[in-house]
Amino acid sequence: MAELWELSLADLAAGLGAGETGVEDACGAFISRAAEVDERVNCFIELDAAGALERARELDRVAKAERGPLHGVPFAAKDIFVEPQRAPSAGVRHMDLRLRARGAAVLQRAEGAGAVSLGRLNLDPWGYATTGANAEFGAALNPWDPSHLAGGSSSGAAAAVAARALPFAIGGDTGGSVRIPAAFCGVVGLKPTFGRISRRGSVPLCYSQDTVGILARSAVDAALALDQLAGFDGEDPAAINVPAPALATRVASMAAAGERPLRGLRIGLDRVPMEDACEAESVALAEAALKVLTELGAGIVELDLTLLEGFDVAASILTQAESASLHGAAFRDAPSRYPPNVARRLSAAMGCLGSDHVDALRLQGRALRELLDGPLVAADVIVGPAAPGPAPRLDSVTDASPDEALELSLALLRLHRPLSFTGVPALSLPVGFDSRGLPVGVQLAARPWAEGRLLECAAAYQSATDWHLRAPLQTTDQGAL
Amino acid sequence: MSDEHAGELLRAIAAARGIPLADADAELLARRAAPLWDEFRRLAASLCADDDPLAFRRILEQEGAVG
Repeated sequence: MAELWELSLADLAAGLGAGETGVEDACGAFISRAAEVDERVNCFIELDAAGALERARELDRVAKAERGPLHGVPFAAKDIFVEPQRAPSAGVRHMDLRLRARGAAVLQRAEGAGAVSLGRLNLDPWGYATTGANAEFGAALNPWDPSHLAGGSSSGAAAAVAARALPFAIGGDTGGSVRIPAAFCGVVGLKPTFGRISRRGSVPLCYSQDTVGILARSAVDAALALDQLAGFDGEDPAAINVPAPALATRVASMAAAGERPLRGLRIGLDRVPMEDACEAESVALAEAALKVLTELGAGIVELDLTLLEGFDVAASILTQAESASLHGAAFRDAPSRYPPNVARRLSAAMGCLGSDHVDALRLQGRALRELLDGPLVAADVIVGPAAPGPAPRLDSVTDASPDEALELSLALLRLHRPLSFTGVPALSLPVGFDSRGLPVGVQLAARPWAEGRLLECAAAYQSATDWHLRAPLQTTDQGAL
Repeated sequence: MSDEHAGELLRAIAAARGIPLADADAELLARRAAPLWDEFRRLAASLCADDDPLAFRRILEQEGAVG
């Protein structure tokens, strides 16, 4: 019989909702697993076992008819979200940004649906890098091989979900911070449309691109979480009043659909940047995934996506300008409190003028229009790499110069930031393992608000493959990891 | 703008804002950032006067209304 922590979010929620599984039992199982996993990969900044068990016992007393869709489901969030009695760390020991909010909307929505927070997850300092390295809290490591990076900045979230310490986690994505660690750790990482999930009560990095995202083992699980976390929040300046999606049933039915469920879906692909940017093994795995998708009925449309290169440049300036607004004063007062790679980016950001910021915002609207009128007319879903290769070794960052560490981040950002800039939904999908046993992912993107299309495509793929069912850090017969 | 002038500008901005930035660091940052800024200036030059900074949000709203 499967351990409770081995169950998918969908199966766990069904059992908890029906009363077949007790909340305290489920949370206890995940807490034990999370503690073991955390010792190996340092995914938690704080594991709050006592608080989670207290809430679990309360939920066990809730009548079945009053249970929410995520009743008793354990989760955790990247440590950028405000809680009533606790300011987030943002991955640094002295988080000195003041926030007005007294609670994070997305945590309130999760808990309102019945989910139980197990604690706060590790991240890159300030969420301003993509490796998971963190000198203050220690790096979050890759559960498939702890000598490798988890990726970031939602590093702990991806590592914890991959290692079955959590059935889902909440992250934040400004330029790839959900999708990159998802690819490195072999889980689904969804960056919804800009404004889809409320950011109220989160530590910002770039107001014009920050998006709350979801990490889960499968597309079906991600859909279940998105349905509960999304929704218009009039107190979030980024929120756009679009009805909350109701995707769980639709996506689950796609996973169970018969032959050729993707019939008629047009998948757009530019092979040139994929082959230029990626290692051969990653390209081969991406091609194999495309073959599966075509066998499921999708058609391939060859695209020229060179316009994305310009979007990356403009996104970089936009992030610089807005991060300088956020961190400029603190950086000026105490530059040594910033990690070298962040300090380097903030130093460069000081050269941004107000007119550069406005130009970047003007380019943002035009970029979205160009994407919608070009590639996303020719194709329903765009597919590209989620990383140049599998997760690099930890020492490729810890032993690197700030310039080398920055260059690694930039190579990853180039693949993700253009889509963040346009605000479209994007999803990192695990498509296999390289010869070293490390996960490889591809990235899917679609028109704004078309998360359902991405999740359906991913669910169909996962119905035909089993990469998402494989788990790292398996226990031995003696119970050790 | 030449690399040399970009370094001077960065130094001047840093000095005006009280940020310690050594001359060598300013030059290095400016040299490294020069290709990015060249490309950004090229993109910005392609903007029309009515490419409005609020258009991004409007397009997202329109797409949401279409469903």
